[in-house]
Amino acid sequence: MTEVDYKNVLVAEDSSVIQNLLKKILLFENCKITSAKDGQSVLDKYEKDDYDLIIMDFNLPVMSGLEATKKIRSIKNKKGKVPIIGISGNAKNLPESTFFEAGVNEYMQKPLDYDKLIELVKKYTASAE
Amino acid sequence: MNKLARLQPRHPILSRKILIVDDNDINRQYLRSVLSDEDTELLSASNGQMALKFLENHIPDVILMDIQMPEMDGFECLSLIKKRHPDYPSLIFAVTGFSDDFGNTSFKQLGFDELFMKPIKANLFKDQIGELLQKWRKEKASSNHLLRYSDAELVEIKTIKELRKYASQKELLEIYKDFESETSLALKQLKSHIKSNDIDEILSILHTIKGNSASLGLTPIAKFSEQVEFEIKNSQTIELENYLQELLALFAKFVSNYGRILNLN
Repeated sequence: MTEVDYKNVLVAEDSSVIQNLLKKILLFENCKITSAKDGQSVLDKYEKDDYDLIIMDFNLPVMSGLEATKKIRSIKNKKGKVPIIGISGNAKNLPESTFFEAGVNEYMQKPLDYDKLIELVKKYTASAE
Repeated sequence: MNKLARLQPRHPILSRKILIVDDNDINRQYLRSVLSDEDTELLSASNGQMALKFLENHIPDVILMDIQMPEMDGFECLSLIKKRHPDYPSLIFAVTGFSDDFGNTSFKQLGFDELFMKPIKANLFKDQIGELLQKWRKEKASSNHLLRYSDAELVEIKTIKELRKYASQKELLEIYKDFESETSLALKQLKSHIKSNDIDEILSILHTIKGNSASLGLTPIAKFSEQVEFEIKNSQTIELENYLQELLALFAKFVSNYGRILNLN
């Protein structure tokens, strides 16, 4: 294994605790993690580079994760179809359908089940080859 | 302390650490296989000295004590534990094959919380241990005993086990250190927002603390933050300053214990 084929994953999460935690966990799955701490920087980073997957917290400053998800889905090309796993502590008690209507592929409630998350990451990054 | 009683989680905490003390290898292995699951961390000691050594670095929820052991028997070990660690929240159960070990004295008089006769019936035993522990935790929460949190109450065993699959020991410690530094900063901000009564900021910080602590299995902090968040949202007039003090106390408990708990698991 001289050349490792890694996946580009954008993690949108304002807490550095969860950011670092996900970085460590996903490293095992050959993921290269880019961090974004607010909704606007998710969009900025997303426009600049190509990502295989986005893990999106909904509770983000500047622009909410929900809003950022809708903006990405409104892009009418391949780029707008990137898989998005939404995560949330659901502070506002929104019904789950809100997240799917915004366009996430999966939704996970915090506290995160790490085994389940890894399973989903595998599922959405596997088909690319 | 009384406030915490009110804040008992709706679901029982399954997380538990159990110390098995038995000189017989097969008995220890049998009990391990009976009790092993994702929420349980098991420690086993083959004699009383070893058990006492364990208790210098671990605060278990349950201690299963064989009675007939060479050198130090279960009675002596029990009295040494009670003397050295009176503030430990552990339930101590006698496990014996000999009913006349206790003569005419009851196990309760001798200081044990329950007596189990060998042979142990696997399923029944596990359920009984679970029930006794839940009952004990409820009693403890509603009393004014100045008992410490057990290791498994402070940090969920299941979460540690899950994280260990993906993170090395060093990385695991880093993850919890991150939480310590971020949360200590957040608590300072919380303090100033409470002074200026900025409810939106207060809620946002509580929500982050709740999410982070729950993700790391820090149940007391997570449940407390959740409860305060809930009470504020329901516009109850509450003394935020008191809650802050309590949250700081819970956080301090975490800070002074997590290194020990994570290093030795």
